[in-house]
Amino acid sequence: MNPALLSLVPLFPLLGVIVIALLNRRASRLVAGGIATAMVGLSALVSFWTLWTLVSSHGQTPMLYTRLYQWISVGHLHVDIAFLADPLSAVMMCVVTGVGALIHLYSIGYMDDPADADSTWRFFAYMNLFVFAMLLLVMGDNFLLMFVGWEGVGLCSYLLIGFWYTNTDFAKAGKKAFIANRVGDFSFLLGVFMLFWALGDQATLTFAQLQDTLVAQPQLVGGSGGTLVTAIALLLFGGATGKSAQIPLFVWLPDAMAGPTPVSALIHAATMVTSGIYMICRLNFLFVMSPVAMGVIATIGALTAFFAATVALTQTDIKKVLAYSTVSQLGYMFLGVGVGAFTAGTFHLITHAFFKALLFLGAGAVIHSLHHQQDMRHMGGLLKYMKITGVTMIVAWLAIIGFPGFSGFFSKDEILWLTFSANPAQIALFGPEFPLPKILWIIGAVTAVLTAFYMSRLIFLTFFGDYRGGHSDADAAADGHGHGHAPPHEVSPLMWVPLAALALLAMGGGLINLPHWLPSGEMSGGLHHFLAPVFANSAPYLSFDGADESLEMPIMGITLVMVFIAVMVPWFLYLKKPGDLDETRRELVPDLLYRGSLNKWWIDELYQAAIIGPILVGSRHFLWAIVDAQLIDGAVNGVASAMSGLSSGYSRFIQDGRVQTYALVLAAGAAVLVFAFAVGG
Amino acid sequence: MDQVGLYPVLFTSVALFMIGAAGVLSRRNALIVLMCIELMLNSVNLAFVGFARHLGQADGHVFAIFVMAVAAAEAAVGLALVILLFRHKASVDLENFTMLKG
Repeated sequence: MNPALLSLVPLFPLLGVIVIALLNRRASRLVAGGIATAMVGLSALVSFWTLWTLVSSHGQTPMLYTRLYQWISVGHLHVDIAFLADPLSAVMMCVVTGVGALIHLYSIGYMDDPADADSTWRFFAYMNLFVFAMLLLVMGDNFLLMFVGWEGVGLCSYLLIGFWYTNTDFAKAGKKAFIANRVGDFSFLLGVFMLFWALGDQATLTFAQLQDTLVAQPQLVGGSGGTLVTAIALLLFGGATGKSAQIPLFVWLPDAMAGPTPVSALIHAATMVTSGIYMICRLNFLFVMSPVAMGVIATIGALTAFFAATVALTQTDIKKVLAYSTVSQLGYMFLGVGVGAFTAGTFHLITHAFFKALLFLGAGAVIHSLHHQQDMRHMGGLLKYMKITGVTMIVAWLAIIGFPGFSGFFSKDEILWLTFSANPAQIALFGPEFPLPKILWIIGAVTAVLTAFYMSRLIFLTFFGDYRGGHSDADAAADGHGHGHAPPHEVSPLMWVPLAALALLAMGGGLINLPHWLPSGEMSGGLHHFLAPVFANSAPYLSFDGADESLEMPIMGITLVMVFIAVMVPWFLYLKKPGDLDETRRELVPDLLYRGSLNKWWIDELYQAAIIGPILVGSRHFLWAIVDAQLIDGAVNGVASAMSGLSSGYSRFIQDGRVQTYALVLAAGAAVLVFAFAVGG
Repeated sequence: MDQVGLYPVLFTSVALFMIGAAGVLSRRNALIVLMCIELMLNSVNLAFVGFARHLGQADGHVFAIFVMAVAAAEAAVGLALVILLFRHKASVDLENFTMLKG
């Protein structure tokens, strides 16, 4: 494949944005959606071709690279608009465009609300713009181009969360996402600046050069384990916590569910939120130099995974459950990359993109079919009405809880096993001897149990039991009119075809990286071997020999048994219904824990009180009332009034209307100049 | 003439220029102001010719001729302006013309 073709990948979606924006209102849902889907589809074809080129060369072609033009050239610093497709980028490109194309196709069916007819073109233009920005992020060969994409996806996320901007809450959710992301982006920028500054004469923004420089001269950033490299890594990770919704900046993601459901599937589950993982994998050679930063990443990841899972246990909004589940699964990925299992993190990123996009799209189909009903307490028994959606959702459920054979099983198991066996010295947050990997493994395993519980609860409440929407077949018949209250029905093929495709991927996604204990021959660890060149420079820092391999099977067995029990509990509670649910819950769980989970542990309230409130008060009473109104306005108005007073009071006589006076002043000025030149030489 | 050096010529030129400038700045009669401007122009001519002789180049002479031509044109325009001013206010006293005052 000619590397120059790489530029086609981001070019197609950009073309789509331009065409749709030029057509604007003239483009109907089908036209705008058709163009957008076709563009992302073409982009996906080129991406697959790229991936195939890299895979089929068996390492002969380590990467494809194309340079469009030189962007910045100052002294030794050269930054190009250049695209890079190494194994990591190629995998990301395929996930972004492949899942993206399916979601675009689904959106044509989903966005059929007549109220949105005039703005559907806007939706598809933003979606294409998002894909373009995301491709810049994963294909850019330097920090600057990555940052353009990094900000671009944030912008599109904001635009799409606030797509129904006439609803104030939705518009606010968009702003919240943008601001939380900006906080992270600022940290990311500081990290890049600090890295740039640390490298001095060797400063470069290109990933390949940076890797060569750091591998050859680690002392530039203070050597392995140095304070400087830790600071840089932590600042960069700060950016990842914003974009990928980790503690402490995760608060925007649950609110981001205000956007249309395909947006949640594409941006807030499959692609944008994984850019933090991608960034850390891309810079793995930098991060492994700081065991402390790796420890922070793994710990934050594990804590986020656990924390978000506890919140997901009690949410009643189907999209909120999936949102917290996404935060939780992203935590797993950070746990993976944190302990140095970059391949496992990337693997989980891919499988998660499949099954979480599927879950969101399935939830979207349910919501669409129930006329914007998102409360699971008003669902139930939908499998009877929506067979295809139901079956695909069940596949996704089996994938996310880690049912053996499904994609999530392999990727989650690999992360947990590598966490368990990681050498404590490579995540030395509390010193090289502290058994942090074991603790993180316990948190991860408990989270897997929680995941199984809340996902089973979601599936049982939605698809099994009896329909609780109050508009079953009988009701609709009795209703007679049934306008907008028809019984739930299966969605159109435009929507279920993507569901079916994603279900196949969620089922078979594990094939790309089968574990070593399966007698799978060449198939074993496919992704691992493919990505190995990208992570080659971090390999010397990492070891996973902390535990006996014979422990792997028993550990997996324990996890599986716990997960099985975690599935049975909601089955018993929600389907068998031994009694009043509220009563059972009160008997089983302390009230404080239940309300804490339901209210997201009051994190939003805490932030409001501790950060947003003080900032608002400080801004209103100090920055606005004093600094702005008095200092800044005072200085501006003061200068103006001083000048006007001076002019009318003292200098007015100079302008007497006599040309001779003006000439005299002129001559006097000239005389002063001549004198000054004569004296000054 | 050969005995006269550059400096006496320049002193005379400066003196004439000063007298002209003082007149322009202080006299009230517009005709006198015009005459003083002529005086300043001619003082410059004197300096041009003096330098031209001193340096043995013809450029200064050429400039003097140009200045005379411009001065003639300027005098014509100036006198026309004075006549217009007189028609306006029946006076050529510059004290009466302060309409530039804001």
